Amino acid sequence: MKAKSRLPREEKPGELNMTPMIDVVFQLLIFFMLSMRFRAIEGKLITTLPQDKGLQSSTVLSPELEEVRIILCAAGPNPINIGSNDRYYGESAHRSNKGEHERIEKDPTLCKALVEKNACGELIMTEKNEKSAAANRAVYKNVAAKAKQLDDMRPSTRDPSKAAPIIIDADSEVPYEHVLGVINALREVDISNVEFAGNPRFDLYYGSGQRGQFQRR
Amino acid sequence: MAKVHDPEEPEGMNMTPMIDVTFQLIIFFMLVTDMANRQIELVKLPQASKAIKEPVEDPQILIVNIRKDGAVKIDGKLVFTPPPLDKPQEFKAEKLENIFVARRQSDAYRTVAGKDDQVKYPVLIRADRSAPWQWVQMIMMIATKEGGVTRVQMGAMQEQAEVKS
Repeated sequence: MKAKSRLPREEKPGELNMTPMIDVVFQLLIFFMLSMRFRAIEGKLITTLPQDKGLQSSTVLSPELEEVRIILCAAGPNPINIGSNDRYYGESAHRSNKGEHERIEKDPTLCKALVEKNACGELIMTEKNEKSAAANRAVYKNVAAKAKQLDDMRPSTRDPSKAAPIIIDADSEVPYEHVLGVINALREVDISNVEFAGNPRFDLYYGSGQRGQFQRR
Repeated sequence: MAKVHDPEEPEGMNMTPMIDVTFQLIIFFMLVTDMANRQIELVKLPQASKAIKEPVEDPQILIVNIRKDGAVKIDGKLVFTPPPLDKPQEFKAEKLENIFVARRQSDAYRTVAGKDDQVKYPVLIRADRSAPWQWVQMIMMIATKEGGVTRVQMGAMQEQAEVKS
């Protein structure tokens, strides 16, 4: 009784000051909660590229049937003259047949989706407008439905490995989300042989100079 | 009687060492988790409802993070920056290529090569949703040409995540 009264309140024997421990435990809890959540929501789409074929694949594997081409292009021509020794940004010029000297700078905010020559709608970068995600998804579905329709119209081939693919040909500037959205939509309608068109910008570095495709299974 | 005699020793617990130890623990866990996640860069992934969640990560996976501006980070290191728009000829991807070449030349790759190396040596591309498609293409081209990799995985968020946040 004597000792109890002599000591200050915080150092009373047998009574722990829990506050710092609780602080620490909360820190730990928050830390682990955050790190757990980060891992849990992430998924992946598994794709396969052709082995040792690279860009030449389109000529080596000549498909029996006509392919279906999905085109994603960024809107807005805004010409920029780069110079005659430009090899790297040849893609847009290549596509628009305007020669090596001119390159068209495109705006990734608004993109157009086409299946062959059928316009399937416009895609808006979700970063600029978060609400556009739902509209974009509708466009992806539209694209996949159209591609499926054209795919079904082709007669079936004898050799499934030679079946013509669905090709996704996206402009350099197109945001990754649109390409992934289309792949995802195609997967939803059970289209599996999707290929990506190569990019002539990189052909000089990693390719044969020919326009080829990457395959996805 | 003894309790009254010496109250500091048996009953008065000093909290300081415990707090110290707990802090040490926090730091330890932070470092360990950071090491495990070092390959993962914070990018805003696009959404895909068909994305698969793999319960166990392949230890040999190479995670390639592509930021919104096209810069590429592998293992927490910046290995590629896209050239400025007006100077496209300054394109340099040697560091990036070297990573893939080194990977192909590693002993571990040689032992699985010829069997089913594309399954054993996947590349996970974690690109920001706004990253220009060309940089993803570049990674795919380097992966096939320099790295001998054919299995490419594309990181995406599952749709449910979008509803939650």
